[in-house]
Amino acid sequence: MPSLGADMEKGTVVEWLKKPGDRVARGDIVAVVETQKGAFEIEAFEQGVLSEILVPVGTEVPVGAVLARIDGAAAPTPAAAPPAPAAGPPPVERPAAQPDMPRREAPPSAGRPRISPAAARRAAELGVDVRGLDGSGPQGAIAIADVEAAAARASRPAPRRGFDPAAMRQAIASAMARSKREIPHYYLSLPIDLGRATEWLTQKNIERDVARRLLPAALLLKAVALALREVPQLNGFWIDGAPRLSSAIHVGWAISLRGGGLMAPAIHDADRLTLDQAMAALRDLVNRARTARIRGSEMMDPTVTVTSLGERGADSVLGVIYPPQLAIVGFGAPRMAVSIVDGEIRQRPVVQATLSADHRATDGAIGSRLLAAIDRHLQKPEAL
Amino acid sequence: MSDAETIARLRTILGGIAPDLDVSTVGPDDDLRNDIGLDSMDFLNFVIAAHEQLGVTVPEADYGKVSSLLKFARYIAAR
Repeated sequence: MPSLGADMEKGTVVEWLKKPGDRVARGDIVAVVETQKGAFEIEAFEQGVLSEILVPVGTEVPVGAVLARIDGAAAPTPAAAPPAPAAGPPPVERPAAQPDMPRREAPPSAGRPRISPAAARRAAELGVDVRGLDGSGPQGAIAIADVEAAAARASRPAPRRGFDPAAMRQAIASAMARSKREIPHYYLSLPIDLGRATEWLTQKNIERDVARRLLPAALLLKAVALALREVPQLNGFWIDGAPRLSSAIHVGWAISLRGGGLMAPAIHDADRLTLDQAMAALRDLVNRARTARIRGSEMMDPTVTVTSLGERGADSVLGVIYPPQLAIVGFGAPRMAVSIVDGEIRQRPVVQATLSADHRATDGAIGSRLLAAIDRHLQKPEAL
Repeated sequence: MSDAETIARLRTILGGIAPDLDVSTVGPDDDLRNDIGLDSMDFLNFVIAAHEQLGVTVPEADYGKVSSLLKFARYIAAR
């Protein structure tokens, strides 16, 4: 049972996606585990053959318990099993096929799905995406009933898998109480002129297709990641009385959940993403947070947290560090403000950037350098 | 397509991008950001999905004109 955060003590296996005898590659999702913060997908960290499941579905075990054995020597290593990219597309998840069940045809990805003309019309009317729909008609063709069922499914809220708002509250309570008990925070803030970044973004988005539009969040994410490269003292953890810095920059992005609560899963190696990749990673992460498809590794390894309140939020946020991390960077809502630019009074969009950092690991001088570096990167949006 | 039909389609699209939202409770005049609580990422996803499924392109400068289901439907009708 992996620890999906400092506050996690135990977890319950709610689903096995592999069974004994199945071959697994690194990064394959093998199980779904329920914690106080909801359900998470657990990936394999080894490749080989799953030889034994030790924790059956429905069983709660402490962090550190062995869930299953993967035998690396029992079978030849699959030649074409690439390691899962840290921030790549989610690995294809497929429950192990039962030998006694007829294998279901994979939905055609390149060709058009088989669909009756009437059903196609109905799908267009209802705005249903028929790709990947199962058909109940002749030869698996999609019928009107299938389309209507899909539309009904889409209009119902899907409860988050394994999500219990009260348990989530408890998890946040214990992590935040521990943070305030153990971590001597210091706080810094810096108003940052977003004029250039905003103009650049508006211009870019006019040129772009809808699907490739950028949000300011992508710029903030990238600016923080690049700044942490310059000020690595704030990227990592406080463990056993000493800082343990991380060379990789995995930014935990705080996402507020509509059902209540909060999570901050990682965007891996954020400093190495292009702006487009950063934007795609953010969209993907938010979508998966909304549908409880966050992977365990994303909960385990953020090296820093960023919380951005968005355009309708408060002016600034002085965050509480998520233990054992060393820092949390906050952005308030950008506001139009009077600013002095080149000796002239101007009206500019300004965002309050803040830093809460662990005073055991660093002092304010280091923290100030981080905020200054974030500012500097945001003044050159074209270089992000 | 009538406004009511467009609203019904937009509501389905909204359900697709916000699966944790009960879209049957979203009224035609509700402000999608202030009343429903879509953030800028949700709203962008909504505009992208509407583009893919209804073929309507909403420039960023027009976001204010599509801030509710009814306004969005009228925006589409006026195109």
